[in-house]
Amino acid sequence: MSSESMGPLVLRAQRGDQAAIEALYQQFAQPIYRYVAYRVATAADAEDLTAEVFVSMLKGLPSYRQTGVPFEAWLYRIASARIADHYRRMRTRPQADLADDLADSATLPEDRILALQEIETLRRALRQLTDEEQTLVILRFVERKSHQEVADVLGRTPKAVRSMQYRALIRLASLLGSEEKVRHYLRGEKS
Amino acid sequence: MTEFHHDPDSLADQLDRLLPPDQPDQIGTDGGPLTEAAARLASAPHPTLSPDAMARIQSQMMQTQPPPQYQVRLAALRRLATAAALFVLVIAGTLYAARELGITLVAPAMSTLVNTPVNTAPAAATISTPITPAPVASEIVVTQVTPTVGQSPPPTDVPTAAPSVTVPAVATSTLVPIVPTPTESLPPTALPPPATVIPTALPAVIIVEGPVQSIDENIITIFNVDITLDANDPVLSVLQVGDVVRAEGEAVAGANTLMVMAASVAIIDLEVFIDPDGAIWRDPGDCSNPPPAAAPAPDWRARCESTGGSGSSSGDGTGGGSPPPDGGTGGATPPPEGDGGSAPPPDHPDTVVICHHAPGESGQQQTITVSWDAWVNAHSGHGDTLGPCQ
Repeated sequence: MSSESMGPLVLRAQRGDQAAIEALYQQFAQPIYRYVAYRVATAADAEDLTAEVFVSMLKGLPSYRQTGVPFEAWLYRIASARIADHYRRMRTRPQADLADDLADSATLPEDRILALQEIETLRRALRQLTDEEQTLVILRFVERKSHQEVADVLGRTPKAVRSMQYRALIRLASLLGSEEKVRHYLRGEKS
Repeated sequence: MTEFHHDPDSLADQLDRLLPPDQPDQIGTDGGPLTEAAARLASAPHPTLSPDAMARIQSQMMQTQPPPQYQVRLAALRRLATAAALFVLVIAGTLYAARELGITLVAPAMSTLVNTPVNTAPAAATISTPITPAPVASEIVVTQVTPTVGQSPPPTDVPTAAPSVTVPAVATSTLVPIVPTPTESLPPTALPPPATVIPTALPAVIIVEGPVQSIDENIITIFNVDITLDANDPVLSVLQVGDVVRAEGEAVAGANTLMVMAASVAIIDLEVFIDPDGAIWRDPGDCSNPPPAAAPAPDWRARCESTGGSGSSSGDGTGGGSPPPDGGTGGATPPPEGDGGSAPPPDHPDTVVICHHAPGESGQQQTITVSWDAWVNAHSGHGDTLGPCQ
């Protein structure tokens, strides 16, 4: 659904239309959860934070039009803020084990375990990037957003997003075990 | 085949081809490590919210849902209150600035004297009673306080004998008082700052009444307002510093101080007569200089012809006042000589400070500085007294 077609739905939600609120939730719950899940350590944290995002959405709906950004971008900004809050809270208490999701994986089928391991590998690599780079890479390649849509979320220009994407992918490729390959690549050598 | 993308733009374009936006099923790579990293992320089994978790979160969200309509109204009310507060602040600031700078806004009903035609206007300065300004006020009157040598001007809400600069209702100009810079030389009298007129669509008709401070060829100054007369205006040949005049004209565009191009200027505190040959007669204030036969000079004739030049007065108040019955007030006025005239002492000053009794307005006084000649020939003859007003 495009930003333009979101308008009436958002307007109805602002007026308290329950069906519209539910429709917004159904549309954005999974993308927001994916975004949050790649950025925090456990599925439980991701679920809690997703709930916080949608509660914040409801509270902020009356003032949404003042922000002047697409609705989806506004939601991602809320999610980013909630994640930042989460890590601030984490500094004051012991951090959860990053492998929570894998702890109970002994009873899962092998392909499921491999999938969880891949997610965990990507998550660990992503978390080495800056907050903005994480948001960019997740939105660009997990959610398949355009440079303009990413720019709306980050509050930057598309050109700045392209530059940031270049730096983020160099770093991510190195973190994912292609350091040697990246070096050759940057030198212009074929691997 | 590995492609090399050494700049962000070529990499972005390549990624748009290999991993196009909004097409999650299309995942490609060119063998380069950067596109491979992006493709690996794109093709990973992404975390998914289970249906149970979806329901839990939805339930949690709905339980904490505030009434959105109410909040919308609150937001609108907040904006309205902010706008109202800003409006009140602007109005209050304008009133405060107007009060501090001596600008008084008057309603039309309060300015009957201002609207009096020039020919029948009383000689006295226009008095406008300040009232609480209304946004629809059709006139702006810049009220000047009584200038007093060595004293601070009184508050503007006490317009004692206040001459005025009047902008009638036809004007759409904006009067912006300005503070004189330190390099500006002020006249001997302590006057409030001049005003600036910024003409807009319609010409502003300016009426200025008050004593002439200075005369520079065809430019006379009244209360720091420069008024340009026609160079051939005969009144220039008779006008003297200290004469109380009424000037009417248009504000000059682009000036950084109030300047008026006068259409008419009339001396209103004494009688003058200019015959067709250019001969000038000024009422000396006493009976020493009879007017030409052609001059109406009603004041002089009423004062001098009916009493045989005794110096007593029966003026109608439109051009002169009653001379002091004893030839002076409190000893400040030079003693009368002959039939009521004043003889200058051998070493008289060039200018004197006098208390000017505005003709036609009983009780209205103002302290002004005039030349000795103006004092002897005019002011001393109609009740003015030497020294500042008490």
